[in-house]
Amino acid sequence: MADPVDRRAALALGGLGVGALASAPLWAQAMVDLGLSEGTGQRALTDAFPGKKGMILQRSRAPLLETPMAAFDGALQDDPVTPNDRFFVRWHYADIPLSVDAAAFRLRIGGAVKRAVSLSLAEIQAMPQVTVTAVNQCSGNSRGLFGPRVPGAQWGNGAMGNARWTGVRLRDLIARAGTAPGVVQVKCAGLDQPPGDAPHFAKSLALDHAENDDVIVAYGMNGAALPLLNGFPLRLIVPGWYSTYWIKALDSIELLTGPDTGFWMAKAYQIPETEDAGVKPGTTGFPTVPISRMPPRAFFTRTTPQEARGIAMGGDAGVAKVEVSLDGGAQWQVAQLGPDHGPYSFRRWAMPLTGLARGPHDLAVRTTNTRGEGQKPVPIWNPGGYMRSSIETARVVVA
Amino acid sequence: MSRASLAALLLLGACNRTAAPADTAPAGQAAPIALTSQTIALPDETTMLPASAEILTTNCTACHSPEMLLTQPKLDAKTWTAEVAKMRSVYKAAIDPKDDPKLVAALLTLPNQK
Repeated sequence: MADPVDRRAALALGGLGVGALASAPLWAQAMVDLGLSEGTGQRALTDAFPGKKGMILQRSRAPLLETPMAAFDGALQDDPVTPNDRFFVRWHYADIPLSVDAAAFRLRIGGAVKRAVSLSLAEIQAMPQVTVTAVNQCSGNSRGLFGPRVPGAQWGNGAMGNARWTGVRLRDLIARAGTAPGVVQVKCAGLDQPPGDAPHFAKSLALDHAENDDVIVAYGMNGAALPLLNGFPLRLIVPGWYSTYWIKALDSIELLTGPDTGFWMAKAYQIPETEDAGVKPGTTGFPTVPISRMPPRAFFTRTTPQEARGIAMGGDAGVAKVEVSLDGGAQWQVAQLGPDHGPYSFRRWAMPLTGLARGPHDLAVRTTNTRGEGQKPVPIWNPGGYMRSSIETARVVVA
Repeated sequence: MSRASLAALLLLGACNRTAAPADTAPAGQAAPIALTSQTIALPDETTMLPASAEILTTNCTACHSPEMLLTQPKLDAKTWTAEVAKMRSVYKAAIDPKDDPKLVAALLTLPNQK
């Protein structure tokens, strides 16, 4: 069980001794325990990455930085966006953009177009501007909580964040180039480079999805430029879909007349073609499809004997309801909801706790989205460690 | 009605139609976002693999830092063998297949694998 209260308990590094943990770098500020099985959840907290503070170090190169659950905590009326300096970081390859010249940068739009175009940031900022609040969640968020465990980045629940993204619609950019006959997909790639002949990281959306109102190319994140580590100067925003599609440092849009058969669409980020993306542990050789939309999830950010509170997301639809159980999932009560920031945003929830008897109480939280989709108590399993969305639990002890 | 106010109404109408469901907002409601050049430097890597695992330092850390190995859950030899093969075939790591058994043996001796 992942107890967010335990998980947040940071211990002074001095008390543990730096040498005690082989994976603790010298610049770590403190340690945090993600509550993973087999005691493998010890991680360093770090301020060492530019523009970031209090991040859970998963890997220094290519950077994988997780957001502690405490960074999501707030009162019901508080803005549910995640500050830029606490927003999680995930790169596949070590060669990431560490310097971008804003005046020289160009976004190229080519492939099956009427006229290839190359746009400066000033030209893009002169186009009609839109803002969407949306959760960005790694496909493998919570992978470290899988049972049996699977290889890959061993995230707790913090490979996610919510931001107000400002930019231009992808369809407006596509219109600048014009679609040639027969376009079916839009392939997006960024400034990060693979080692040697490894496949360049690129992801594709169906043309009709790419032309949705909500799919944007963002130059703003919570009212400021994106941090380089989150994709400055441009990032593709695909609300309701997993982060693998949210290409960072986006500099290439290519229109395709056939499906993208590249490694990152055809082989990587595949989930079982089952209703819940789960298979029996250990299963191999099942049919797969590329991961896409997110299911709803609710999380605890703070649990005391007086109150439980947290955040919920509806996935690719709004949060309709959050319910809390005080008896391990037998009975459920409707929680209070914070302001609605749109269907793709986190929504805050709270449940005052009164009259809890002395002793331990097993709390659980679940959400239902506006399409009636809820959460299940039993976690799924798949070999990629993708799409965990089962009901979260937390223990409160009344002294 | 002036042409400017008519345009503003049309713009509002357009935004209402397309923007409301996603908590989107029309342009001009907030300060413009300044895009100026950015340069950062990543922190020096200080996490090391055990001295006994030199073969891992040689074969694995060209592409990623050691934490990736040191944070993995307990995995069996078959799973590690598949990981090594993936690094070679997909990510083009320069790993000699003859070294695979030695690599897997070294991986299984890491502190997180015991």
